[in-house]
Amino acid sequence: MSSSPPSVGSKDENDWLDVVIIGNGYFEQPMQGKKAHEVFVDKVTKQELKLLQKHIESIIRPPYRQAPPRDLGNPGHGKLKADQWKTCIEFDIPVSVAQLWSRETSPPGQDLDVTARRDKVFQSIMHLAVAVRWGTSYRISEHHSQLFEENMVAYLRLLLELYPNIQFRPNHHTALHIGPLLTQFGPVHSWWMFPFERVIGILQKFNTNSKMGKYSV
Amino acid sequence: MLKSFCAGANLKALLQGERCPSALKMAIPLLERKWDQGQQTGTIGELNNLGNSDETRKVDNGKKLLILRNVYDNAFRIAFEEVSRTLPRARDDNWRSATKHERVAIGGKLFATKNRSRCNAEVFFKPLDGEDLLPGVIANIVSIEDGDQEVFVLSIQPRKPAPADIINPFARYPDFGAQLWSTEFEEEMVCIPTTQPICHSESRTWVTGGVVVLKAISSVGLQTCQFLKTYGIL
Repeated sequence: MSSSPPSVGSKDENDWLDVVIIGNGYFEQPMQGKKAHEVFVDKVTKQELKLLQKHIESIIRPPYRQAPPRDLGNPGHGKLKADQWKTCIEFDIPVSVAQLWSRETSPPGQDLDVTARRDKVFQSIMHLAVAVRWGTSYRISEHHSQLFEENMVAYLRLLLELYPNIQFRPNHHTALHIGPLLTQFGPVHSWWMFPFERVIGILQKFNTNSKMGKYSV
Repeated sequence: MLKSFCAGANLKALLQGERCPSALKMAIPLLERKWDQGQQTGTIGELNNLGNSDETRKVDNGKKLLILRNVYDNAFRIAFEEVSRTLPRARDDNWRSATKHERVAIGGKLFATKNRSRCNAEVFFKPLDGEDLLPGVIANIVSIEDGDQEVFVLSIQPRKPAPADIINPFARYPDFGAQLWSTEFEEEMVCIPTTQPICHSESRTWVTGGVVVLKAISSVGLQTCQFLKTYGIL
């Protein structure tokens, strides 16, 4: 998370004092060829972030669902665990973004361009959430695989549309290979890497003498 | 990982032994096929692959084995009847005693009454006379004596539908699974046995007051129940 540069053309510089950016990759936009408000509307304001945190706190969920940290968006909570990301994308973030940025809930009188762009961000998040839902089903068929792929491609296309200069990460590429793997190997729960991550976590907690490959005396 | 490998080896040994239950023995060719070829997965998926006809498959030792569809159906039916029994209708003069509970585990998940634990009481359930999953909150859990065994029944307070004028952004994405419902509950309780599909839900209040957004948390048990219902096994 970082604060944004205060050189945003027509936008008042003081407005940026209240702005935070979640995720350095997606939310930083080059200024070239962009209108000021197009850059601005993708930012999450401190007020919106507080609202998001309040939403997360008010969610009622069974104890086995690992909730994201209460101060989500603040650097203090450290890295999120994979399970927390899963909870975030399956419910918390899509519902909050739907409430804040979907065209159905946009405040009356809001600039139409802003509404349209924010709604596209909402659409991209929903496509990702739907892809995760199809991809992590306990039953898998050709239908599941196809819908996972359709939604993942739609999500990536929207990312490109929203942020034409985005540099896709290797994970974006590998996500497109998951569809065929679902039909070959079945539900992801039997072959995903969480058990290995858990073992890595156990190994990382071991005390060592920092002399790799040598026995202690 | 070593433990799970050893558990798998023990399971294989059990399946090859004489003490192996007959229901499990019937699943051996399916398990062998999964282990040896790894092209299909899950016993349920395998059962699905059988279609409506019988099938001949080769076992490890080269012997051919005829898999009878109805035998598999019966195995699943018996297994489900054993673990989740429904209560037969009682005669008017034959009163049964019931015991109240605060918690019950269904399919490995803990469910509780709303007074005990709200987060374990918010559920989506399928009523006996309906096809769709409905949201509600568990008000009571009772077990009723049936011979020398007990049958668990949940009484659930269903939510009222959200007002019709609410604009729902999730309507554009039905596959996401989130729905808007009222914060108010119906007065009439719905009673279901624990054999009915049921799962927990995540919820929070929506923009407008008096409305909540709810999403069912899918589980293996729920999806298996739906599969067995679809195939008329349950």
